[in-house]
Amino acid sequence: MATTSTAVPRWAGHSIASRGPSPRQRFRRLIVYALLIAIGLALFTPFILAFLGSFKSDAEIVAYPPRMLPAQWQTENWARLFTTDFGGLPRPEGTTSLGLMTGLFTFFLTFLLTSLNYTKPRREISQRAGLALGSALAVLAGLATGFYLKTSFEASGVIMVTVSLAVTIITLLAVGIIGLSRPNWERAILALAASLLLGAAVTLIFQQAALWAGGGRFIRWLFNTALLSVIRAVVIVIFCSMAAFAFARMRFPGKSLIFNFMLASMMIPSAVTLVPAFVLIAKLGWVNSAYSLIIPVLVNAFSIFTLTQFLKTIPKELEEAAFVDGASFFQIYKDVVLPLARPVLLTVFILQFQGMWNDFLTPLLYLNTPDMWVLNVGLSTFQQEYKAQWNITLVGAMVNALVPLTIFFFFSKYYIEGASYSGLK
Amino acid sequence: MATTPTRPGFLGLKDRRARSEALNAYLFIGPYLLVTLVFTIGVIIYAIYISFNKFDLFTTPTWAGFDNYSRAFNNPTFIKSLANIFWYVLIVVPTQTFIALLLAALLNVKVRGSRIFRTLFYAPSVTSAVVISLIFWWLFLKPGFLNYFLDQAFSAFGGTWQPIEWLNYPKGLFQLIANALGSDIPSSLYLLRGPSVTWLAIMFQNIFTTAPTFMILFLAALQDIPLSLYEAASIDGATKRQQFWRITVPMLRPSILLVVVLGTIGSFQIFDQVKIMTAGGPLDTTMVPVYLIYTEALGVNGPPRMGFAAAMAFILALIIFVFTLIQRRFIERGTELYY
Repeated sequence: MATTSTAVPRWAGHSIASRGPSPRQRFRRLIVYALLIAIGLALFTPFILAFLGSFKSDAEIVAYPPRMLPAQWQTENWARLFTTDFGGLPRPEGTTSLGLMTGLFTFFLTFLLTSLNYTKPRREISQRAGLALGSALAVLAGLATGFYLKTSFEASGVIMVTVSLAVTIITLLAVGIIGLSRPNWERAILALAASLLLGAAVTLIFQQAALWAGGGRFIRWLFNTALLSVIRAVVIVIFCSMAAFAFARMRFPGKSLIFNFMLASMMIPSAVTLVPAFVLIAKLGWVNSAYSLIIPVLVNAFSIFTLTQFLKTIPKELEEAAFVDGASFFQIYKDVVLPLARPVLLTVFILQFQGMWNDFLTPLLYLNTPDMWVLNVGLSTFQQEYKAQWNITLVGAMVNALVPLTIFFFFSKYYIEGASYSGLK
Repeated sequence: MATTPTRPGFLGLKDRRARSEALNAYLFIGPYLLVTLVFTIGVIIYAIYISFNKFDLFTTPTWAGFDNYSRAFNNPTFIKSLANIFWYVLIVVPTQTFIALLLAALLNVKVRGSRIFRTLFYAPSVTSAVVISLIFWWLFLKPGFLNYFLDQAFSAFGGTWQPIEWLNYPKGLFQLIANALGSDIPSSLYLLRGPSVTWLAIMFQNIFTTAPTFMILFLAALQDIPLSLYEAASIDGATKRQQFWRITVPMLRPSILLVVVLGTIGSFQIFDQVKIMTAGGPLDTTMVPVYLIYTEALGVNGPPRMGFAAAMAFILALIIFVFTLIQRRFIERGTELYY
C-alpha cells in the first residue's frame, strides 16, 4: 500500500541526477502531454456526446448529420424521466424484503458495536444464562420475522421458514461471537434487545420508504439500487473483514485448506452457478425480493482475500498487548484491527458498492416486476418502452453513471489501491 | 453452538487457549463457510446433477444421461456462440492487455498532473456496462456519431463513407475482405467468415471500457519495480527502449498473466452488452454462450431447459479452464528467473 502511493520508481522520464530538463526531455514531455490529452479526450467523448444528447429534442437526437450541441436545450427531458410511470404497483413482498434486509444488518452492526466495553465483566448473569438468554432472543427474533412476513403479506411457508431461519442464524452468530468474548452479560443482553428493536424500526421505516417511492418509477429504481448497493457493501465489509481476521490472525484446524479453496473458487466462472442458483432461489421463493440479491453474496472471496492480505501487514505486537490486558479476539478485531484497516475497508466498501450498482445479470434474473427492478434492469427496458426516444434513454444512462462517477472522483485513491491488492502482492 | 467451549479435546486441541482460538475463528469465518457451502459448493453439485437431467423447473427432474451434453454439441446456435466467443477472446484479450500496458506506461512517466490523467483514464471503467452499451448503441446508430466521424475522416482524404447500421450488419470480416478482392466466402462456412461487423463493434466498445480497468493493475505493478534495476541497466548503457523490453516487460510477467487470465475469464462470459444491444443478432453473429444459457434457463423460447443450460455452462467452464491453463504455461515460462 505504502509503495503505490509514495513510490518513486519510474521506468522512464527522469534521470538519476536532477539537472534542469534538456531540450530532448522537454520535447518528450510535450509528446507525453499530447498523448495523455488525446487519450483522455477519446475516452471521454462518448460521455460528453451522450450528456449533450440528453438535452436534445426527440427529432434532433436521431438526425443525420448529428451535431455536438443541441439546437435547443430541452431540460425537461430530465424531469420527464423522473415523472414517467412505467406501471407496476409496489408489492408488499418486495417492500417487506427490502425493509427486512436493511433492518437485519442494522441490528447486526449495532449489536456488535454496542455490546462490549473494556470494563471488567461483573458476574451478575452467568455465561451459561447469558448464552441461553441470547439464544432465546435470537429464536424470538426469527419467530417475530415469520409473524411479520405473514401479516405484512400472505407469505408462503417456504419464505417464512427460510427468511426466519436466516434471521435466527445471523442473530445466533452475533450472540456466539459476543459470548466467546465473555462479556458483561447484562450489558450484552440489553444491547441485543435494543438492537433488535432498532432493527425492527428500520425494517418498518424502509418498507414504508419503498412504498412511498412507488412502483415502476425511476425514483423507485434509484431507491432500490442505492439501498441494495449500500446493504451489500456494508454486509460484505462486516463478514469479509471477520473472515479475513481469522485467516490473517488466528490458528485453527483446516485453515490452509479453506483458504486455498477460497482462492481456487475465485477462478470458478460464474456462468456455472448461474442456472442452479436460479433454481435454488426460485425454490426458496426468493425471486423478486431483496433476499435473492443479498443473502447469496453475504461474503465474497475476492474481498476476503484483499482484506487478508492487508491484515497480515499489521504488526502483531499491537494485539499481543491487548491480549495481555485480557481482551477477547472479537475485541481485538473490533478495537485494534478494524480501526487500523479503515482505508482498506473503505476500498472494499466502494468496490462492492460499485459492483452491485453496476450488476446486471443477477438482478435481471431474479427481479421480474418493475417495482423491484434496479436502475440497470429498468434502463435496459427503455429501448422497448421508448423505441426512438433516445434522449430519455440517455438521461437515464447519465443519472445511472453519475453516482459511480461521483464516488470515483472523490475516492479515486481507494479504487487504485483496491486494484493493486488484487492478487499481485 | 453455546456449550462447545467446555467440551474437552475439541477438534483434538488439548490446550484451552488453542481451543478457544479455533472456536472463535470458526465463528468468524462462519458466514463465509455457510454461504459457500450452500451457494458455491452445494449449487455446483446441484448443477452437475441438473446437467444430467431433463428439468423444466416445475416438474421433477428425469434422468437423461449425457443427453444434454450431446444436444449442446449438436445445437447449431451453441456452436455458433462458441465460434463467436472464440473470435472475441482472440481479438479482445490481447488488444486490451496491450492497450492497458501502453496506457500504464504512459501514465507512469513522471509529468505534472499525471494523477489527474490517471483518474480521467480510469473513469469509463466505473460506469456500468448497461450505461456504456446504451451510449454506444446510440453512437452506433445509422444516423449516429460513429458514421459521422468516419464520414468526416474519409472526406478529409477525398473518399466517402456510406453510413451503416453497425448493430445490424451480419457480414463477416473475412467475407468483406473477400468481397473487396472480388470473391466471396459463403455464409455457411461460419468460422471462416470471421467475426461480423456488429460483433467487431461490440469488441471495440468492450476494449474501450476494460483496457482502463487493467491499466490500473499494470500501473500498480510498474510502481513496484525497483528503481535500482533501471539504474544498473543505464550504467551498462542500455537505452530506454531496451530497458522497457528487457526489464519492465519481464518484471511485469506475473501481472500480465493475471490480466490475461482475468480478461479471458471475463471475456468468455460476456453477457450485458449482448443482452442489451443485439440479443444475439443479427443472424446469431453476436450470440454468446452465457446469453444462450440465460435464455434457456428463463425459458425465453419455450419451456425452460435447465439441464441443457447447465450442460452448456459446464462446457463453457471447461473451455475457460483449458484456455487459462494454456496461458499459464505460456506466460509463466521464464518468470522463475525473477522470482
